[in-house]
This record gives sequence, structure tokens and C-alpha cells, in this order.
Amino acid sequence: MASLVLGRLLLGAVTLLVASLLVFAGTQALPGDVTTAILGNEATPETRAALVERLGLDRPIHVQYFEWAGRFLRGDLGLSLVNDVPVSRLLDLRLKNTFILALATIIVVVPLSLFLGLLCAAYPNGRLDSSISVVSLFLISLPEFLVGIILVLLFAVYWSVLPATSISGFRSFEHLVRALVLPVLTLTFAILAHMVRMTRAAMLEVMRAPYIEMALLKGASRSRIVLRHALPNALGPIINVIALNLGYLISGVVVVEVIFAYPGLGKLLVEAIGNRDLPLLQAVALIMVAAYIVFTLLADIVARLSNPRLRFKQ
Amino acid sequence: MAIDQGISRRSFNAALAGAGATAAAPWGLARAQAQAQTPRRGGRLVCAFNDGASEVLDPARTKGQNGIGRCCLLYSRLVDMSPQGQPVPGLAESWEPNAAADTWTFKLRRGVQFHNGKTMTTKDVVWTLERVLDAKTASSGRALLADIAEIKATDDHTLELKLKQADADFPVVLTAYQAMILPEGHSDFLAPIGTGPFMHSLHQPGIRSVFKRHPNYWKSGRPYVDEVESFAIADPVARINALLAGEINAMITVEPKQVERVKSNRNCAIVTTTGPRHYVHGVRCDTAPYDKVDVRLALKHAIDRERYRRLVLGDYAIVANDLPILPSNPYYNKDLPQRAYDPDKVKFHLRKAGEENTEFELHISSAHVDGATVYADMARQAGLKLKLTRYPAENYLDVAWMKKPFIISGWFGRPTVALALQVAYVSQASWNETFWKRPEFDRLVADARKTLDQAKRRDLFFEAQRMLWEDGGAMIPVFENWIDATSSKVKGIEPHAFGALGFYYWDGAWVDA
Repeated sequence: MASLVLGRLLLGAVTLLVASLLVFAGTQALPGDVTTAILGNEATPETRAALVERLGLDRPIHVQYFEWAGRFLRGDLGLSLVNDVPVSRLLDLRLKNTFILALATIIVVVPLSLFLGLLCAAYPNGRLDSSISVVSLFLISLPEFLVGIILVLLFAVYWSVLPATSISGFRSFEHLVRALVLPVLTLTFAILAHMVRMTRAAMLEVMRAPYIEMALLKGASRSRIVLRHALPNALGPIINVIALNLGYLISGVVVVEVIFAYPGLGKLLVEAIGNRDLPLLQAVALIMVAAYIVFTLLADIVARLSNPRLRFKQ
Repeated sequence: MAIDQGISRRSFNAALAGAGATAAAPWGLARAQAQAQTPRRGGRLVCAFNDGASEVLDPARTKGQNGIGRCCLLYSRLVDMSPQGQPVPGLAESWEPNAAADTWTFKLRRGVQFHNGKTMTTKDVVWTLERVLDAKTASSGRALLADIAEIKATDDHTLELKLKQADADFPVVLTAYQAMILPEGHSDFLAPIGTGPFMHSLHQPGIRSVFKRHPNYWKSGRPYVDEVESFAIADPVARINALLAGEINAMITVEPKQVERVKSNRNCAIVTTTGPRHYVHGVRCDTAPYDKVDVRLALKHAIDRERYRRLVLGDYAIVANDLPILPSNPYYNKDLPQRAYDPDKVKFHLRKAGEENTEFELHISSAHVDGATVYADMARQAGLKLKLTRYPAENYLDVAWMKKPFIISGWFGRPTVALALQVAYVSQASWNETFWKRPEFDRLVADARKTLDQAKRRDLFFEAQRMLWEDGGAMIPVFENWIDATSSKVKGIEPHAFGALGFYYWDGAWVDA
């Protein structure tokens, strides 16, 4: 087990290194120029040169990379070129907000999708199974911006029961909870089907195994078969799909953040690209990569722990 | 048709917008009545901006509406701009040129207090202006103030500015937001200090900022509201939703097609006025076939401006006459006839140029699509073939602007005729996007600039505009309104020709109970 974790950590570190190279190369290849982004076209060649020197952009690329990577390892993320404040300060609040949104969504979506997925697997191909599948697939087929805007129109503009945007809600806990309802609902619609289908498929796979038939013949109840005999063996893929969606929630919810004006990481990334704010962009991109790596690593470990055969054999 | 990324980049930096305003009549009337009420003290203003591009609270280096708007709350300028575009006293209570108009003396207001209680003197002003002019500051305002040769404090309240060349309009230059006054030596912009109506209370870059009332503001009794909160909601639909749902009570930039949504809600009001914002459809006069004046005239006659105005901007615009100056400006050449849609003239000029079958290629950004499509269609009906080539808005300025022979560029306009012509139409202008070079025109503008005699100035400016109108490479169809919105409870924001929501002069804003 320890060697597995160690091996996975090492692999994760290598992935992160490769990702950092790609991120750095990608940001260098962006068309446009940070001096234009900062100074506008009002810039004279002279002010431009002064700025390039101040930012250290006149040195060779590999020197810039190693310096950046070195500082990054020491926890110094640099100064945002456009906002003139430490990147860590910008990240601090945004990262927290993103985690709040991801966590709230996971708390809603995991129990819900497990419940629905198990229900489908317990009564496969029945009326219940088909309706759950149809509804969840319908919801996933609607793009997030449509769902989000319809929810805002109904709940905020017509009925005035919930806020239309989240940004104004960061004043108190009660505000925050109300502000989270609609974004969480939108995200739930977006990932519910994925997780329900995965749970259902993993369960049905296990349910076809001979030992389940055995349990059935012994007269075990349906709920006991599903929860006690089948679920533990189906947990691996389910945990993996949760981890995958958690990674998505950390890095890929730009659209929802834009619709609800939610100050999270996704929008920060988009703004950083628009502004050619390279230190900020690099930090956000690496954090997103790291989130994916950490979550899949955790998922692997948990999946192994949940499976006695994997836990002891190797 | 929104002002695209590229345009805002350039014109925000300019901050000096056009001149003169003709307030939209019915709305202006309603506002006038609202202002007749007695302002109420207290309440909060919660404003959503349209971008979070830069949230730097350093006036010399900020940009974008969010940054400029917040700086307008925190700081004051030596010279303010009236809603119609005239320079009016700000921190300087009066000014006077010498006979040659190349040295200007400014008298500072006495007893103005910074947020930290310090009294403002010429020391602060000199430090501020020198900081903007210092190349190390990398301020976009440096180019704007470049004419200043020497800054001298005669005493604590008298300032003398020597210019490199005479400028009869010089005070307008000091209305640039980059030249807002800071206390000497203070450059911590996470704890900003100014003389503006509101002081810093909370600043979470990229999230939100809160400002509270400055009790010792230099306009006594003002400001009226206790607190201003501001943040960016970049998505135009989300911004309007927040206003309709009552979460915010002010917002900037309503797209023309969204105006009806706001109007249909009784708790919300549109704030709009004519401004000098315009799109230049510009050709390079040094490149064939656009080097022929007949081709340029054909392009200028191939658009029905009145219909364009209605179709693209839903009436929130006025027709323009290929000049970058608002018709309400006293130096605007009214003698030139309005250029009209005329298929016969289009065909005549194309035949004369020998370009009847040429397909002209207009290079546009994805932000220009609505307007350009309408123009291309009108041109086609007049017998002029116009092909549109699209670029992403993000790098339009880098790949197309001033490179391709036929482009569209957006301008917020300039407050004076001299600046409007100098910035893009004289031969040596760094943004001479039409590559139109006429030494005689340059001479007219330069002479007018230093002429203090109004009648003589008018003649020189009229002649320069006539040259540009007859020969220049810019087709300017309309001037677009500023369209913003507030809750109907918010009063006292007077629409301003040069900026969104009263150009952020919010010391007179108040919230009705």
C-alpha cells in the first residue's frame, strides 16, 4: 500500500512537472503582449521597454522558466502583472470560493446520484429505471448556460426568492447559502446523469456475478443484496467518477461562474488569459492540474482501501 | 454592437472623450424633475461594472471601467469635466494662460483635505504630475501629459505649468483620470488615499470593493450616500438580472437590444445620453485602390446612416457626418452638408475610379459583426461589393488595425476638436489609422491649437474639418449613446457625454427612501 502511494505520488510529481512545462510554453505562445495589455496602445516604445525590464521579460525563456518554477516550489507565486498584488492574495479568496461551490455541489450530488443509481440498479429496465435515465440524460443534454439562465429568470427575476448573482452574496453566511442554491442546482443538473449512469453500470456489472445469484438463492432481501453484497465491489469506479467530477468542479465551471457572477477560479483563469497576466495564469493552471492529480490519487487510494482483494494481494 | 475589447483598451486609456452633449429629451426632462427634489442623506449605492480587467486603485496605471470608476470615487482632479465637455474647476478653482498660451497658472482650492486629514497643497500636485510623467511609473497618462515641459509651485496654492508648445485647450488635458491627485509620497494602493468623495474601506481585488463616505469632502454637504459597493459582473445578461432582482441599484453598459427588458420593469430606469463614441470605418489612403478619393467617396455614400442607426443601435445614437466631433461642439463645422445614402453617386464614383467590379474587403473583429453586416448589405444594394473578413476581438488590434487597408476601429471620442484631430488625423499621429497625410491640414490644426482668438480658431477648425470631410479616409456613420441603468430610487446621477453613469461623478448621487 505504502509503495503504491509513493509510486503514485512520484508519478503525480512528474505529471505536474510536465504540466508546468506545457503551461509555461503555452503562456509564452499566447498571441499579444502583456505590455500592450497593461499599457494599452497609448504606450510609447520607451515606457514599454521600462515595463519589460521591470517585469524581467527581457531574459532568455529557460532562465525565466527556472526562476518561475523555483519560486513556485518555495511557495512564492509572484506578482500579478495587471493587478499589482501578489498572486497568492488573488488566489486565496477565489480558491476558497471555488472549494465552497465544489463542496456544496458534491454534498448534494453524491448522495443523490448514489441513491438514484442504486435505485436504477435494483430495478433494472423497469419503469423507474427508464424514467430516471431519461430525466437525468435530458438534464445533462441542456447546456449549463441555458439551465442557469432559466433558473435565474424563474427564481430571481420573476419570483424574487433567490439572488440572481452570487457576488453580492458574500456578506454573511445566510446570504452565501441563498447565493449558492442556483449555481449548485445548475451544476447538479450538469453532472448528475454522469454519476447516476456510472453507478448504475458499475452495480449492474457486479450484480451479474455468480455470488449475487448465490445470495439471491439464499433468500437475501433486495436491499441487502444491493447495499451489502454488491455496492462495496462497485465502489471503485464510483469513487473514480466522483473524483473526476470534483476535478471538473474545481477547474471547469467557468460558464456557471459567469452566469451567476460567482468569483471563482475559472473566471480568474479567463480574466488572466484576457489580460495576458502570465504569473496569475500559470498559477491558476497549475493549481487546476494539481487538483486533478490529487483527486485521482485519492480516488485510487480509497478504491483500493474499499476492495479487500486489492488491499491485501499486492 | 458593444464596444469591443480592443477599442476599450485604447480608448479607456484615453479617458478624454468627445465634446458636448444633447441629452435625450424625454429622459433629460425626467431627470431634471428628479433633481429638483431634495437629496436624502444615507443609503448605499451598489454598482456592477462590466469588466474586471484591472482593479488597480492607482489612477496613473488603472484601466477599464471598473478601475477608472473606483478611482473617480477615491480621488479628485485639478480640472473636472462638465457633462457637456467643458473644463470646470475641480481641485483647481481657477486657471489662466499667458498671452502665448504656453504657460498656464492654476490656483488651487484652499483647505481641501485628504482622507487621512492632511491638507492638499501644490507639493502633492507637483509630486503627482511628476509621477505620471516618470517613465518608470509606466503610466498611460504620460503620453497625454507629454506637452508639459516644466512644473513649478510658486507657493502652496499656485502652480505654473510651462508647455513645450502652445495649447489653448490645455486645462482639458488635466481632466485625464491618470492625473488624479495623490498625497505626496503615498503609493500604497492597497490602502489608497485621495481627496475624493469616498474613502477606501475594503478592497478584495477581483471580487469587490467597498467605499465609505468622506466626511470632510471639499464640496460641503456631499456626498449623500454612506457607502458605495462595487464589483464586476462581466456577463451583460447576468448584470441586468442582478438589477432587475434588486441586488444592485446601478450598472453600466446596457446593450441596445436589452434596453426594453430594463424599461419594462418599473423599479428600474435607463440612464442614457448622446456621447461622442463612434466607429471609424477607415481605409489606408496610401494603398490602392483606396488612394483614389473617388473610392473613398463611394464608400462614404454607400451607407444609409438613419437606417443603420435604427437597425444596429435601436435609436440610441445620432447620425454622424464622417467627422470625429459631436455636432454640439461649438467648433463643429455645421456648414458641411450631411452625407446621404446615394446609389447613383456610389456608381458614379466607382466608374470614375475605374473600380466598378472591384470587391472591397473590410477587415472586422467579431465585435463589429452587426454593424458591418448592415453596412455591407446597404453597400451591395448600392452596387458596391463589400466582403467581410472576421478576426477574433482579442487580437484584432494586433493583427488588423493599422495593418489591413480597410478596418473598423472604435473610439470614445475626444473632448476638443484639436485633440480629436490630433490623435488620429494629423500626419504624424501615432494612431493615424487612415494614413492620410496632408501638410496643409496639419498646419491648420497646429495654428488653431495655439490661437486664443475664438473667431480665428473657428475659421481654422472649420477649414480643417472641410478638408477631412472631402478627402479623408474615415467613414463615421453614427455617434453612439451611453446606455446605463439604475434602480429608479437612485437619483442625482447626471448623464455625462464622456463616460458611463455620469462619468462616475457620484458625489451628487442619492438614494430615495
